[in-house]
Amino acid sequence: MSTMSTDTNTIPNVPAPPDATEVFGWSQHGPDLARRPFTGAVREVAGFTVRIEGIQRENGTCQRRVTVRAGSPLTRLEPEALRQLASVLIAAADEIGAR
Amino acid sequence: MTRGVFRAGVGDGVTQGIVESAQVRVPTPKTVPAPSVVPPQNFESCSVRCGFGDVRSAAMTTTAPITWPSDVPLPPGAQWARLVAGDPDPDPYSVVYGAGRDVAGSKVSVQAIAVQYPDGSLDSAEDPPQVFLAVDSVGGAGLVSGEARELAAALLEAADQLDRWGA
Repeated sequence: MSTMSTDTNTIPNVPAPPDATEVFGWSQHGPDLARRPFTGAVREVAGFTVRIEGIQRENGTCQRRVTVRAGSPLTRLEPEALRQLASVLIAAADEIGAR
Repeated sequence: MTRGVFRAGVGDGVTQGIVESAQVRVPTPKTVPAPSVVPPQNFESCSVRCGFGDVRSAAMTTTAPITWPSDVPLPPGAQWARLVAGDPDPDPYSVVYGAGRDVAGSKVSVQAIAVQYPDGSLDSAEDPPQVFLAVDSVGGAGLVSGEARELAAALLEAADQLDRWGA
């Protein structure tokens, strides 16, 4: 489900990125194009959350990144968890690489 | 209670590790390249930053030389090690480090670590071989596609290393 948080006084009418699951408010700094952050697919594995996060500009272009967060700073990375995390990272990389 | 030799995590870039050491073991240059691995940062101070009260960094100060058999080789794939002894574990042990790998363009590094005893065996119970994923930027700027693949490759390498160490 998409969540739109916009300021209609300054926001161009740009559709959300097709892979966005959550879209945040626009901001603009100086002469730069207005931009807004969004979140894409979220994958959880072995105590980690691998998330696609991106920035959409007012001209419709997007930049995407993969972020990794641990549920706990005490998470031990043993072989199975490492391989699961690697698999999810590759899936996320494939996804942003295809866009 | 674990020994508290090392713990790892991501999210805030904090790693927790060795708290005191007196000697560094490295393989001979003829057989293994000189160590190029930089240990995870903040080892000495992270217990304060993380607030882990069971870590012995504050309590342990080792000034006497540590006795260690000269014929104990580093385990396969280990690049260097630190000898450790002191309260609450007076018996010496060695924390061994695999080849660290940095993910280009980011501040992410992957480091396999294990505990070795004077008889050459590796700890498989209290502190089994595991991996540090030291992260400074993953939670922030994130990784582009190539960096994410590189990190995945490093994790798979590290998993193989742990397998070799019997994790």
